[in-house]
Amino acid sequence: MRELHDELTELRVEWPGTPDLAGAVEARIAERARPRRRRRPALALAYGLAALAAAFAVTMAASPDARSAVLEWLGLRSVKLERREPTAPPPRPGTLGAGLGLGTPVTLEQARRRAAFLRVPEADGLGRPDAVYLGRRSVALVYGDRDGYARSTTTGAALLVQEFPARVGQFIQKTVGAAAGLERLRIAGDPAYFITGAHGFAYDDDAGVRFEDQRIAGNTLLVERADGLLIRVEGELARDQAVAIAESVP
Amino acid sequence: MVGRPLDENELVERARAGDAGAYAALVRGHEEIAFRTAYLICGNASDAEDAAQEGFVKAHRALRRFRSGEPLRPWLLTIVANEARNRRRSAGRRAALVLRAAGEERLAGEAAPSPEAALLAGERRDALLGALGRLREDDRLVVGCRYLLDLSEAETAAALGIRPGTVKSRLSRSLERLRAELGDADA
Repeated sequence: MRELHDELTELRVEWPGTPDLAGAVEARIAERARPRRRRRPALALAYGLAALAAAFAVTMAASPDARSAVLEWLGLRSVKLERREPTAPPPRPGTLGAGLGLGTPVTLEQARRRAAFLRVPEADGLGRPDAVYLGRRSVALVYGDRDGYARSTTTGAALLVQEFPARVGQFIQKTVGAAAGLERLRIAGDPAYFITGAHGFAYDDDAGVRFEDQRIAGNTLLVERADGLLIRVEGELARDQAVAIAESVP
Repeated sequence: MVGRPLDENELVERARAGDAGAYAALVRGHEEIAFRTAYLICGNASDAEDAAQEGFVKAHRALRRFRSGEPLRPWLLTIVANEARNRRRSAGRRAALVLRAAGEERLAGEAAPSPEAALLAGERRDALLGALGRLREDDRLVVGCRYLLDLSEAETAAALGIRPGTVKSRLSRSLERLRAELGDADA
């Protein structure tokens, strides 16, 4: 039997990627040299959110600098948004959802067995998903034609719902293209973000940043639930439609 | 230690004189170990990033108090680890630390292990990390700092805010517990 401490020393741990601390620290030191308002602690952020909401989307669209300032002010720590042109391949024709890099096709029952975190939306008229994909740490539910939903040109589906077992404090990165607007919402008390316009999608679990195939996404609603489930609803959806679907997830 | 055009003492002097670039270079040299130490303590990457960033900003403010000629790394780790502990406390919950083993790194030309051998090695790595995750926090931290992060005893003491003498005794106790958790004692 090898010595335990040797085994431990030789163990290669898959650490999360180290963020660019030097750059961030240098920027903060440079900022401190100028008179400025101190960054507000996250708890204070709840105040004034409602008043801001209306102006928010407009500001965000108007200026990328305003975007980062507002995001910082809002304390969006676990969801980081950054502007980056999406570089997405067009969806490939074929089976619903195939070619979107969603994972392995499975039946709904298989997905339920293998991903205990899965909660299937129960919104009226949705019924069962037409295709289900199991990713490394995600499940994707793909819905074909449904009354009241337009078929998305980017996914070829009426609706794409993805769920990730996001642990508390998990860092999520969302890559938003230049044209995307962002609106911050609350759904049953949980922080949510409605993103319009083409954008890519990336999230980070503790093993590092993962890109969801960097494909261009339609309108997307992202809900960070307190129970640790991250829900992503994508389609040619109006905000309220997306919210209704997220709300119907038990 | 990565080779640097200026040695650490020179960078510290420049940073004290107000050279932000020099301080950034110091951070660059220590950001990985600081972030991982914070990650061990916080248990999640987002808090670890916050703690490490805040720690480096505070260290910059406190740079005048740093004694020239002393090693910088333990001093920085003390500050960053302290930030990490504050965040963990205020989080008010014990998020389980999840560590995953990376696949074995092979040198070019080296034969691939048989699938069975790779599977066994992988199982052992997962078992080790799993058992480590089930240990009490102080056991897990001392083992993590000393062996997974490869900190020296003095650096482990600095990061955990304990006396260097305590590191040794706590380590041997923690390894015993890890062995028991793994079931090696019966083997």
